[in-house]
Amino acid sequence: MNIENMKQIIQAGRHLKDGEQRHLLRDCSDDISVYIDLIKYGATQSSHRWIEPEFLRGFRVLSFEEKVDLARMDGEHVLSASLISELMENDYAKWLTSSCSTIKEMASAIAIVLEDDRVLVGADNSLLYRYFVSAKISSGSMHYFSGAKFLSIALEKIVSEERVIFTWIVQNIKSMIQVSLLDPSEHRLFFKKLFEKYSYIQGEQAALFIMAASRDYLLFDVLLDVRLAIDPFSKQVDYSLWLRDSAKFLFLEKIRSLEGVSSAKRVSEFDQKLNIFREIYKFDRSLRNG
Amino acid sequence: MSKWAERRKRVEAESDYDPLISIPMLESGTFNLAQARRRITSEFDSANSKNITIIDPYLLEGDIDVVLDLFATQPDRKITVITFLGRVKQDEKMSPEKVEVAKIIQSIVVDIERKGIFSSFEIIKTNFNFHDRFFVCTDQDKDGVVISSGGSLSMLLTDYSGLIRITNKTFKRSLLQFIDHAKKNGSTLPDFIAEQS
Repeated sequence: MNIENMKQIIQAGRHLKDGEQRHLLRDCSDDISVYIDLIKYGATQSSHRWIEPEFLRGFRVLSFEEKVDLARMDGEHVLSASLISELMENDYAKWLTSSCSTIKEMASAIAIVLEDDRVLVGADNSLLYRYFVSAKISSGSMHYFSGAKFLSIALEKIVSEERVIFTWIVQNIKSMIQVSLLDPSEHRLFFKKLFEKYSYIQGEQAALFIMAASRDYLLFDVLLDVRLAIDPFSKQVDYSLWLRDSAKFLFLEKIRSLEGVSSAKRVSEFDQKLNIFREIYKFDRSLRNG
Repeated sequence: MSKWAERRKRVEAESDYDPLISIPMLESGTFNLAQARRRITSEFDSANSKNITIIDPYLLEGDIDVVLDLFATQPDRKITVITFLGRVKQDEKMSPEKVEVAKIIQSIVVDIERKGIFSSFEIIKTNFNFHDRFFVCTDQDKDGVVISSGGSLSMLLTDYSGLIRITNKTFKRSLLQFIDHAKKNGSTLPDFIAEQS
């Protein structure tokens, strides 16, 4: 089986076994995210059983460059998974500076999943971002992420592009604030958008807002700008939205109670609103746990 | 009909709408799988659920992706998955050997535990087959969320599969009984792998 035959086989989709159940990857914005998912969710370990045995034998003896060529043709990324699996067994770190962009991205994806910070040395903003949203940052690596340009791009992307804001992403932001590498006062718009985006502010998210507002009490004024459907009319026409927004409004009371926040400009406006809210809904049982 | 009358009619019609009692693909507007799945996340997040049990007879390595998508929004959660590691029949072939899948899943679980994504993540392999799928909050201090899912994790909310919120207390007790039964008649994944080796 030569490489030209193999290309034809891939084009015809005959390189993969029929009837094998494969995990379909969701649409990813970039190749490195695809590679990260292949590693994280076991495709690299399963790829050998998804590929036709004869094709696999032929694939294994090819050079890295030839494997890359074939992997690029495979829309299901099974050949990429197989190649990544091989890199993982063969000191992937030496490929972090490869001149072949695909190999370099595969090695970088492995490093990200293994939380190997060697990948961060000389990394561009795009690679830094992928690490920031895919792995937990160690205290020794935080300085790599402290550039003002990186932070503004990253925070904007997190709030607008990430499908799920995973707990480790929130923890990374908290860690950066904690060591003063991220100043909340320079990123108020991010916190506002995040407050808008979350349906509920619980646990880790609540801790993030409290930490940010403790460092920047004027953030309270910005969060007040978020429109919340807490009026009686909203309660009548969209009860679930009203319930969610009421809980968010009551969360603002927790921020209001933080030291320093009483000096924020819009505190009296909020207090007045809160008094009215309490008066209107004083008999509402649904808010008792809010 | 006036605009207000129309609106009133719509509000009345939607008054018992519950995003967790629904076939999302049939709802008006463009279907978005990620958004549809997020309604499960929102429910467990809003209830501040700490202990979540996922019951699904089929579990493949890629399904852990869905578990993270649904529940890795809070760090201190204890996640338990109860599964038979059922093998799906496709074109006269069966999906891979259970022990092979179990080993791969276990390596993913170890990685998740190492990274502290959940406070614990346990998979129980039952020694009996079962059929239905559920997401269950087992927090003792609350009347936890219970959702029945028409589709398994890998197919969650695709192919017109729906969700049904369970509020009936007797049925909830039955589910807790099932979880207990599964734990007594099942093995943790490392034990299952060791037994098969």
